[in-house]
Amino acid sequence: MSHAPLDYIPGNSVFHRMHVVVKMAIMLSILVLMFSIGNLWLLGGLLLMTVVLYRISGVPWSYFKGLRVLIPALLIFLISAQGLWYSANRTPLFEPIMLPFRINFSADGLEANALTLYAEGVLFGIVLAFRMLGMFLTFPLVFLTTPTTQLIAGLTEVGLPYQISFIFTTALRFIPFLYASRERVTEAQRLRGMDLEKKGIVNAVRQTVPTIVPMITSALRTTSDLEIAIESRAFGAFDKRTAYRGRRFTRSDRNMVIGLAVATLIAAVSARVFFPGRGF
Amino acid sequence: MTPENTAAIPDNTILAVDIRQLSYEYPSGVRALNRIDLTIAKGQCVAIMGANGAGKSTLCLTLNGIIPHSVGGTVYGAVHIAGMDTMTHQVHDLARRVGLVMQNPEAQLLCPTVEDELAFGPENLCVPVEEIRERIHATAAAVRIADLLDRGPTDLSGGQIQRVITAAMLTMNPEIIVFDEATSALDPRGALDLFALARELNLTRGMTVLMAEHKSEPIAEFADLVVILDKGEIIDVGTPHQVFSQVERLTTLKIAPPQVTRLMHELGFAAEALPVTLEAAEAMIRPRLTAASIPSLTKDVIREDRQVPAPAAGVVTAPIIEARNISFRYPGEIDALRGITLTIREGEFVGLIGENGAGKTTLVKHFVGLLKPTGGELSVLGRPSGSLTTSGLAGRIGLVLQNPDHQLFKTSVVDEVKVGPIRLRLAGDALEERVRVAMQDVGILEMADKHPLSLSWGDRQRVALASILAMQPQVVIFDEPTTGQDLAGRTIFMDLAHALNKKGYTIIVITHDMELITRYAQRCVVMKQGRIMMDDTTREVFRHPDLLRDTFIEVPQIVQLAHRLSDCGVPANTLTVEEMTVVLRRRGVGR
Repeated sequence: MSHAPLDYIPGNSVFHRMHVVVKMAIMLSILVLMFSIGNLWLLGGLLLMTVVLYRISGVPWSYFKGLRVLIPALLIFLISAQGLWYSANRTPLFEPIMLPFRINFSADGLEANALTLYAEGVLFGIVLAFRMLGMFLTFPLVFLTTPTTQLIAGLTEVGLPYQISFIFTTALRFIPFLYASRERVTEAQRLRGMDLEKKGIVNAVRQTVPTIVPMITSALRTTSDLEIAIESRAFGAFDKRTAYRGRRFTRSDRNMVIGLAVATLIAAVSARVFFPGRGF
Repeated sequence: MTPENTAAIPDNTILAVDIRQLSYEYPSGVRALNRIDLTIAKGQCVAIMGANGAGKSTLCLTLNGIIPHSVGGTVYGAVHIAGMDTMTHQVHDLARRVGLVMQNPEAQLLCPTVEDELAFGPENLCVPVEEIRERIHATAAAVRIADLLDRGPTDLSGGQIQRVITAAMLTMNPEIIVFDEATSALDPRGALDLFALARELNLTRGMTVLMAEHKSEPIAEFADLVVILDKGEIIDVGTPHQVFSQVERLTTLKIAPPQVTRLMHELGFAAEALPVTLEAAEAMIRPRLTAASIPSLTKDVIREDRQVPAPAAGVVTAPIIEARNISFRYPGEIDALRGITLTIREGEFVGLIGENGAGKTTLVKHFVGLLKPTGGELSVLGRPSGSLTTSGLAGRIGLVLQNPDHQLFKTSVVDEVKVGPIRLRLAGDALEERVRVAMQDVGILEMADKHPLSLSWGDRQRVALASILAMQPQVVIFDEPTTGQDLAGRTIFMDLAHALNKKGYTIIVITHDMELITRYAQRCVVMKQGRIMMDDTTREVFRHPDLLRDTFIEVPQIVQLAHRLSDCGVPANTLTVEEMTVVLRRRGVGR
């Protein structure tokens, strides 16, 4: 069975050992920078940094398998959409598609009988694709390197209310459950003659209901067990709890978060000044 | 409350459990407990028994405040646990006094490793790190899981998980530990180990132990007190002997007394004289063996209907499944099957037994095409397995999985049963007829219009079975059909399997319930670590309790009794209560 998405990958890397709040602060900084910088090289650098963090944390390459589809899809969609219709489009690259009629395409009322791809839009499309990838990549790493219990403990420690952390715990603990139950449910349906080898949209829809409904019902039944199990272990007894293995949120952690925030702000502002990009 | 129980409690002790006039209604309005009065002194070992739906789990959940604090509903009366009122104390307060081990092993693990699991409770209670470390190591040693501390949840067997959960409760230093049907998913040996652990905690640490259970043989050995629940009310409390000796009454309550108790009851002994443990039964029977010894079982002793009509001498029915030296390995894991050679013939009733993780389910998944062997040859219905798909086999080989909730998705029972045959392209009268027959065979005809999810677990399992039968397979494979079922649920299911077998279906049953195997299966295949250890008639297989014990199987009490008495002329291959009754009667015991 393959690894469930977002499920903890055990390890003892630098990133594993950091306090969860610091990890989140790092990820947030990367995201803030990505959204405030328009320079492609810097954006690429930030993405690369994120991937390096994954590798340092011991996440196998196979984890990125899903990106093989996602990256081209994002690029094609965003580049063509922005290349055609971005409001700052000025410099035509080429006119690949001729239309037999005239349509109003751009914001300034320009009419044309061709779909023109503009340089500004193409560039902006790539920037957007990079930012989307950043969103897909950053925060999952926090979940992959932090056991759920420590994640919750860490967040409660810096003031997340108990109820919210409780919902959070249960939801996260559920992903591997759903993953396993999907496998069992499809088996059960195949035993009653459901043919998974049949492809096509109609069959896909036809196979969805028999899979989703039992997954939800058995998930609901497991939820109550899980809730009882968590409460029976005195979860939420006190606002503070002992950190047996996970690190406490120390003064230096706090300083690091503050430092990171200041550095991010400065970096974002100076990047705008020194690499004005195209004003994205 | 019986006088004996009251007398056992000194006045000045704080009771471990003090329940007065407790009634409880779930938020849905269903009344699950009714006027419960129960007092348990510190250090007692108490079993709670009753049919499915009698209120055992509900009662367990009132003990640590989950009811009413987490579940809601309406509570009348009062529950005090070690002097604490569960209405005014929160669940996490009560967790220091009461540990709870539940039925489903997987849903209770919360942490990435066993060590974190053991730390989780005391962490929540703000115990200092050093003390947590000490508690973890002391507990792990006591519960014999010290070698598992670094393991993750997926690397543990069901029996190991239940020990880990027990340990995780113990690190919170509770005074009371509650096992809510905690042994029901375990193999016989895993279950016995958990019973032994509970008893050990009770004896050596003076912990109060409560166990909601269906298995009466170990209860008779371990428990000080047995509480019988029926429809949310306590209808009997007493020592195992007081309770189990009422054989007929218990049977109507869907509780099976220990096998030896049933045996001596059948032989006409009065209730007061009935033994409840193996030792007591042996001591009672030995001096009474007067008539001439019976060296082996004769035809008239063997219960006729257990055997299928024997084929004429020399006739062997056609093979349906033939495995030659097959092996299987899940990607990246160790071998799940190693060199299995096995032939299943038409009309057989085969029991497939062995410890958790022995490869039983993996093996039958090959028979229905869900898995393909990574080595060796497998042919099903005369065709090599490589050419078969699960959907193609669906109408011919049926596998009823353990958890019915993984397949039910329609809004009425009858629609659910139709799903399979419709996928097999059946329609019109032929479809209606098949569905009707299947529902009639499993006895759910009157539930046709109900919503499957509104039914009890046992009934949902029957719907799942009907939905397989409606596809009219030649072979029906049951994967642990009786887990967590009371006496009635277990017998109904096995009687069904037996009736299908008589109709000509080939039956394969995977189960941990050895009493059912000895009663119903003609042939028994024993697996261990991906290999077949024994494959013979059930009678022959159970002749070797020592070999079986090696595969984590404990033989039923009657088989143990037969072995103990074999030195004085009781056939060692006697399998069931019925057979033993006939044998002993002939030897002059009872009437």
